[in-house]
Amino acid sequence: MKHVTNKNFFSDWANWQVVVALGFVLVCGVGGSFVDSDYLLQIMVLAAIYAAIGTAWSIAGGLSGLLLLGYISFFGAGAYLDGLLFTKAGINPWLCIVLSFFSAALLAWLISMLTLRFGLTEDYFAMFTVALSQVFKYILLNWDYAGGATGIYLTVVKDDFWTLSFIDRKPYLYIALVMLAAVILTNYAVQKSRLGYYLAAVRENDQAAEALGINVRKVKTQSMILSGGIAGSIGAFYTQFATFIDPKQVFSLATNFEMLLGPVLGGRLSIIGPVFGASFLKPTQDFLRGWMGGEADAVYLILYGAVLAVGILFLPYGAAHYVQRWHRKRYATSAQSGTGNDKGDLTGARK
Amino acid sequence: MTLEVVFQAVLLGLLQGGVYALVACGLTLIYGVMKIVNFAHAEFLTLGMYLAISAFQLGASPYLVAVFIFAAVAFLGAGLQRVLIRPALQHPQINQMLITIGLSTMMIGTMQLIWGPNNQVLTLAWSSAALEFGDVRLTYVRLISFAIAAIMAAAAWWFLKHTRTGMAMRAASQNPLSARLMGVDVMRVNMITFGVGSGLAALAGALIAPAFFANPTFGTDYFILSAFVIVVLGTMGNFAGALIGGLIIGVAEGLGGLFFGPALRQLVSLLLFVVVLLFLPRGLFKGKVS
Repeated sequence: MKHVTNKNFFSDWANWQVVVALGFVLVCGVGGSFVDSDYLLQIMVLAAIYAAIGTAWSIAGGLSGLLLLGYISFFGAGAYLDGLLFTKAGINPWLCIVLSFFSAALLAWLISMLTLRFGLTEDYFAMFTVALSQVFKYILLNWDYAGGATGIYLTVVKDDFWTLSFIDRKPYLYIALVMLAAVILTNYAVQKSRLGYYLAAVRENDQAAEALGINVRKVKTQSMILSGGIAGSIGAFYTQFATFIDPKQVFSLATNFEMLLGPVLGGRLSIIGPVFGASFLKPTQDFLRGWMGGEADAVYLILYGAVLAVGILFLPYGAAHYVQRWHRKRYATSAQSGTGNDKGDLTGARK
Repeated sequence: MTLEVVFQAVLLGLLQGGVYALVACGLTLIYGVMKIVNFAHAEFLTLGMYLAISAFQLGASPYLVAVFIFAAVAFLGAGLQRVLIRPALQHPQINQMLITIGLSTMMIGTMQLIWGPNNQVLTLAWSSAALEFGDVRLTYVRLISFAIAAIMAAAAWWFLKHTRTGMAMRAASQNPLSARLMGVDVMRVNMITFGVGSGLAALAGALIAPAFFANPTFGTDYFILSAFVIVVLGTMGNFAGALIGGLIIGVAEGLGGLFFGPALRQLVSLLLFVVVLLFLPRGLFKGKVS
């Protein structure tokens, strides 16, 4: 960005966002240290996990414009890899988180190779990813070594940072927030990097991008690998936090769509969108669920479905779109730069 | 495993396939015209089942009310399209998909509120009566549902080929812009298509009500994936493709269930889906629509 003379650091939308998002994470960490209720802490950790997942998803699902509808495969794969390595081989959970990153990234690479090679785009790509997540679910349901339908239990006996096991919920919150901060920085770094500009070009018009010499397949694959790998790590952390996983839970389609709700309602192309979207929606959902009693409650389902459908109708480009408009007005005098922040980005819309 | 058992599985699969075809042709019509992947489609089938059960409890024959169920759900579908889908037609695709997912969740919740979460069953006096020859045994409810499904599919086919609205639907699915320039009210066609598609799914639901247990997530659990496999196999948007694909997938699932056991039945259709997507993404009809 040598050509842009930014007088004010905050006049750049991405800079402004990353500072706000990291500030919010810090506030949550400080605020969380005063919370004593396990129930509240549990909800906060889950919100942080969802926010991190949403921010990671938006690298592939937002920035590169891929219709990555079945995202939970990566989360579930990471969760199961951690569960299996930890319980069967006794491998250190921190190492598991790293290994989960690489195996989920490998999975993402394989999916990209298959779909891009066979020319699966848009709707077909979306259906492929959804179907694949359910293939994993049914394989694990029928795989007795991995616990089958009963899943995997982890036992926590004592506080030990080294094995990522705590009786108290608070350390999990700090770790989840650190992970969230790392994902936010990754998303920011992608937006600011050459890859981010490539992705923006591909998202706007992939044929024009190809004509300009961008390897469309390669940059899409890179975004998938990064996005999938992060989801894998978060999945591994989730296993350590929840201490129990089963295929119906970590490969659930309902959870899958819940994870996408934050970034889509918050703003797929922004950083603050997924972070604040998930931080607001996930706790609201958990409180509603707790208040109405049970996941399968009819009124809860109706409310949730209505929020999903009507929310998306009224916020087609996410809430961050309006914040960005305000930001643009506020810093109208300075030059604009950055990617993924065009007003009314119609990438996903049919041409 | 005798030959009769395999034969029985094939025939049962074929009968199931007839119902699949009816569900899938609604889905494929909606995709063809609106280019929307409708994840709420199976919920209309469940709704049809529940309506048939309620009508039966009030003393009506489920087969006679099937036509009324088709009409009622078609109007509901058209209304829902107008309110939820039409405003999103110009929005990003991921939004459209998530909206249909929201619609699906809402419908499941509503059905659970009205009919409760537990299994409901419609038992006719002759529910278990069957046509038998040799070791092969086919229940009449399955045979009747197949026959009516075939008649309805033929009627829908005739509607598409020979009525003004049907021709407008085909025109809109081939090229919405040209259709609009030729004076087709594409927005109205979209609404009718969504209505007819939902109605066909509900009709299929009414037909299978005597043969299955109904619960709020029945459609999502047992039908939606198969419907998507069929629609992709028969080329998304191709009506005849959906009918043929329905029969193929019905038989494939029947045989899959026989050889790999019912637990892996879902996995069979899922793997079929993945394979079809990878190797035949344009379907048997090479991307030709209607």
